[in-house]
Amino acid sequence: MKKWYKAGVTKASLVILAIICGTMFITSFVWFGLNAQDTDSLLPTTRVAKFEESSRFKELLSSDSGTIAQGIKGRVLREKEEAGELLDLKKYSETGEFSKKDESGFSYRIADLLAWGSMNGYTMTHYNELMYEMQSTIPEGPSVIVCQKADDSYQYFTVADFHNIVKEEDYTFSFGQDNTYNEDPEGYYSFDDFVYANEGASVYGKDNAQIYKKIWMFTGVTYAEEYKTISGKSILEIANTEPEWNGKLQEMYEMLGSALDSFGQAGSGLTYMEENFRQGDTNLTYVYANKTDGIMQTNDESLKNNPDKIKEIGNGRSAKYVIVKPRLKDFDTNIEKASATEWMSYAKELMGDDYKDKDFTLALAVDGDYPVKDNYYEQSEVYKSFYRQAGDYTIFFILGLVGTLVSVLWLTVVSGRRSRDEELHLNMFDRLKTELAAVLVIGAEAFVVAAIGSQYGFSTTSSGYAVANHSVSLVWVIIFFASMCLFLAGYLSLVRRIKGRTLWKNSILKYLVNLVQIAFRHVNILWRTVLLFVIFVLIHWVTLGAGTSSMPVVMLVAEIAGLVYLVRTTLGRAAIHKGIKRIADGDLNYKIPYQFLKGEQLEIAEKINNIGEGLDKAVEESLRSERMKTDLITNVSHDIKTPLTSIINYIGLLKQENFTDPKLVKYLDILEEKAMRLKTLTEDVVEASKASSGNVNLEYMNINLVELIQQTSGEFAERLESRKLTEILSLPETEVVVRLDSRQTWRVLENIYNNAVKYSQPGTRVYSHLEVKDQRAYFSLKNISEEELNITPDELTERFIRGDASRSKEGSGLGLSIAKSLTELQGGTFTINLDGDLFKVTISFPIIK
Amino acid sequence: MANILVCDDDKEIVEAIGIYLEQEGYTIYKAYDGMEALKVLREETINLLIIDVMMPKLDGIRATLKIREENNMPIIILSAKSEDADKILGLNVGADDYVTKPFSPLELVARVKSQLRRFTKLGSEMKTEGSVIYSSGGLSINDDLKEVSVDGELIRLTPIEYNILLLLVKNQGRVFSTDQIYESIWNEDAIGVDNTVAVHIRHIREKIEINPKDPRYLKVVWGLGYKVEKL
Repeated sequence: MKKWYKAGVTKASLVILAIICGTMFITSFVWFGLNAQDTDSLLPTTRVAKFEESSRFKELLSSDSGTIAQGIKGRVLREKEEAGELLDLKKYSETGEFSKKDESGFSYRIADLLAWGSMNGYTMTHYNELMYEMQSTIPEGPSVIVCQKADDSYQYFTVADFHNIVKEEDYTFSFGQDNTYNEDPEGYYSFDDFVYANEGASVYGKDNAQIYKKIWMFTGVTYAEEYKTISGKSILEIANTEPEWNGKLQEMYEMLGSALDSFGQAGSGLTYMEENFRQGDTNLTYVYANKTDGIMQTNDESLKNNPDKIKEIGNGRSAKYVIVKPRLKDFDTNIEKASATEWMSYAKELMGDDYKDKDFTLALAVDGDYPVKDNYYEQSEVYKSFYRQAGDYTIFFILGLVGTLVSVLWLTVVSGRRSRDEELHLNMFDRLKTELAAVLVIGAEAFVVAAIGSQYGFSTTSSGYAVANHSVSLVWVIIFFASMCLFLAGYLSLVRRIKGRTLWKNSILKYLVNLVQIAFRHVNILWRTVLLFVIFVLIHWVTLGAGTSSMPVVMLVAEIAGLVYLVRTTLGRAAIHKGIKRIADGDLNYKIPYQFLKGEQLEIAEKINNIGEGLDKAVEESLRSERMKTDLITNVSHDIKTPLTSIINYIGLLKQENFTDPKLVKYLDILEEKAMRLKTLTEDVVEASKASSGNVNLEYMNINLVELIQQTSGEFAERLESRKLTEILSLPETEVVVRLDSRQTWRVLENIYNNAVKYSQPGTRVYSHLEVKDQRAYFSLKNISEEELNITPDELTERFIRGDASRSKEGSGLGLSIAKSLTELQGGTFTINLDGDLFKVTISFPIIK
Repeated sequence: MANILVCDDDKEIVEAIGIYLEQEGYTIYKAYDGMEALKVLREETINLLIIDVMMPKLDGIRATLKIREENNMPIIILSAKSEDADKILGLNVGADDYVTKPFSPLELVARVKSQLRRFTKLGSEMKTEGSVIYSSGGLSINDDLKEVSVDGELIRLTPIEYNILLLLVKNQGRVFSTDQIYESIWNEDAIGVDNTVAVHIRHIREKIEINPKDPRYLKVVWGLGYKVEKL
C-alpha cells in the first residue's frame, strides 16, 4: 500500500496513541503539579535522592536555627534572673546592661518581661510554605488622659478613672477665662469622644476654681500592664508620683515596648525550644559555647567540651551540620548551598551587635539516619516516597509528551485525507457550524471536568513540606482520558476545517455577517448613508460617554474611516461623472476606470461602460451602413449614367432625322422627357443619400441671406414667369448675416423654389418672406398647390416617398428631402405646413450678432 | 477643319459624339482606351481630345497627364463622376474642360467649338489700334465699340446688361453685391429690395455662358454677390 501513512488503520492507531500518550502526559503533569512544591524537586537534573540533600532540608534547618538562637538567648536571660539581676529600663535603654537593684524606680523582673513578651505567643506570618516571620502581639492598654496642672506638672489618668472623677467632682470644662460652660459628658457616645471634643480645655471644680490648665488625650502607644515594676507600681503611678518621670510618659512606654519585643522573641524561642528540641525528642543537636561570657548551652551534654564533635553525631557519617564561629572563614558545613551570612545573622540575634568580638561556637546538626521520629523524619519519608515515584512520572511525562506531539502532528497532516485519493474529506461533525462544534467540544470538556471533578476534588492541604504525597486517582485518569478524546476530536475537526477552508465559511458568524451585508445591500441608498452616519455619530457619543483614555483613539479611527469613505465615494462619483460626460460628448470609447469604485458605484460604472460600448457599436454600425448605402447609390448611379448618356445622345440624333409622322415626334418627345427625368433622378438620389448621411463637406462663411434670396429669386424669375406665377418678395432692408455654407444653402433654396415652380397652380402668387425673430432668421415660401395635397408634411421630406402619382412631374421628389437634410446639417430647422392647398416651407438659422 | 480624337470605352457614346461633331465639319478619330488614344495621338495631328475617365488599360486622368507632358491641345474630360473633387482633379491634371455624363450633345459641341476657337484664334486675334479692350479668358469687351464677344463670337446685350458686365469685367475677381451693382449702374440708392439685378445677371449668363447653371465667366457667389473670374 503506497499511501500507508494516511490509511484508515494508520490513522486509527495514531488516534489511540495520541489519546494514551496525552492521558499519560496530563496525568504526570498533574501529579507533578500536586506533589512537587519547588522547582528543584520538579526537574530531574536538580532533584536529589535524599531529603537531607534537598534545599528544603537546608531551609528547615535554617528556620530551626533561628528559633534555637532565640531560645538560647531566653535561657541566658533566665539564668541572669536566677543570678539576682533585674532590668532597670532606664539603664538598659541607655547602656544595654542589666542591674542588681532598682535605681530609676522604673525596673522590672527579667522573668516577668520574658513571660509578658511571649504571653500571647508570636503569630507566624507565612510568606510561603518555608518562610515565615514572628511578630509579637503585645496587647495595648487603655487610653490615657494628660492633665496639665497650674505649675506645668502633669497628672495622668486612664479614661475610666478620669470619667469617674469628673462625675464625682462635677468638673466643668471651659475654653476661655470666664466663659465656663457645662457640657454633659454623658451626651457623647463615649467619654473618649467627649475628651477628644474638649481637647485643650481647662477644667474647673465646683467652686469654679481651676483644677487643670489644659487637658488632652495621650497619643502614644500604651500597653496592658500584666506585670508591675519591682516596686509594685504601674507606669501611670510612677509618672504621677516620681517627679523624675513626670512628663516622660511616652518615653517610658517606648522603653517598655522595645524591651518587651526583644524579650518576647527570646521567651517564645525558649518555649518552643524546650518543647521540641530536648535531647531524645529530636534528631537535631545544637551547641552554643561562648567563652567570653562563659556560656554553654546544648541539648547534648557530650559536646560540652568539644562543640566541633557535633560533626560526628549519630553513627558519625550521616550528620548534616553547620558550625558558626566569629570569623566567616571558620564557618563549616556539609550542607550544599548553606549560606554563612544567613547563620551568622542568627549568632548576631543571639549575642547582639558586638558578637564579632566574642569567642563563640554555634553549631547545629541533624542526624541523617533519623533515629527519632520527629519532623525531619516525617519530611524525609514523604520525600523518599515522592522521589521513588518521580522517576516513573518523569518517564511518563516525556514519553507522553513526545508521543502526543508526534501523533498529533502526524494526524494534523493526514487528517481529512484518505489513501485512495487526494481529496479532502469532511465528516458529519466537520459539517456542523464552527461555533456549534466549538461549543459542543468545549462544553463536553467542561462538563466532564466539572461534573466528575467536583466529587473527586484534589486535597489542597498545605503542609509546609517540600513535597506532598498525593496520588492521582483513577477517576481523574478517566477524566484526563475523556478530555484527551474530546480535545483530539475538536482539534482534528479544526484542522480539517482550516484545510477545507470551511472554518470561516461554515461559521454562524459568517452567516450573520452575510445576512447583515445582504440586508445592507438592499437598504435604500439613502437609508444606508443615514445608517452609516448614525453609526459614526454613535461611536463618538458612546466613546464620549464611556470617557475612557482610549476615547480619542477610537474617535480618531472612526474619523479616519469616515474620511476614507468620503474621499472614496467622492472620487468614485467624480470618475463616474467624468465618464458620463465624456460618453455624452460623443467619446463612446471612453471607459470609466474601476480604481476607486466599490459596490454600487462599481456596478453603475460597469453598466455605463456597457452602454458606452453598445452605443459605440451602434453608431459605428449605423455610420458604416449609411456609408455603404451612399457608396452603393453612388456606384449604381455611375453605372446608370453611361447608358443614359447614350440614350440621350441617340434621342438627339433621332430628333435630327426630321420625322414627319406626328406620332413619331410625340414618342420621341416622351422618350426625351423620361430620359431627362432619369438623369435628374440619378443625380438627386446621390445627393439625397449624401445629405441625409451627413457625407457633405461644409465650408462655413458669413453670408447675407437677403442677398442669397434675391439671387435665387433672380435665378427663378424666368421659370416662375413661364408658369404664370408672380413672386411676392418681402425682405428686410438690412443685411441678415448667417454663418453657413453658401453653396449648400443655395441648394436648399433652389430645391424649395423648384418645388414651388413645379407644383404651384399657374396664375397664382408665390410669397417669399424673410424675417428676423429671437436671434434667428426665418425664411418661408408659400404657394398654392396645383394638385390636391393628400399627403403629410413628413412624407414629403422622407426620401423616396412620393406624394400621389399626380405629383410626378419632372422632379425626383427628393428635392424637399435634400433641402431638409442640408438645412439640418447646418444647424437649421426645416418645417412644412399644409393648409388646404396652401403649401408653406419655413427654414430658420441662427443669425450672427 | 480640326481633327478631334474621341476616347471612351463605350462605343455607342463615341459613335454618337462622332456623328454630332462630323455634322459640324470636324474630322473624327476614335479610341476606346487610354493606350489607344496615346497611339492615335502619336500617329495623327489632333487638335482636340475628348476623353472619358473610367476606361480599361489606361484611364483618362493618367492619359491626360501623359499627354500634357508634350502636348498642349485642348482636352475635354467626359465623366460620369460628378463630384467636385473629381472635377478639380480633372482640371488640375491639365484638362481644359470637364463635362459630366449624361451630357447634352449640343452643349458638348458648343464646348468643343469654344475650346477650338480659343486655342486657334486667341493668340492671333487682331487688336484694333486705340481701342480699350477688357477681357477674361474667351470673354472680351471692346468698350469703344460697345462690343462683347465670347470666343470671338459677338454677343448682343442690352445697355444695362452691358454696363453690369463691364463693371464686373473691369473689376475682375472682385465680388459685387446686388446693392453695389444697383447703385453703380442705376446711380441711385438701392431702396427697393427686389431681384432686378439678379434677373439681369441671369440674362447675361444665358447669353455668354454655354451652360448658365455652370457658368464659366460670370459666377454667382451665393449670399454675397457676383463676380467675373480672372482667367
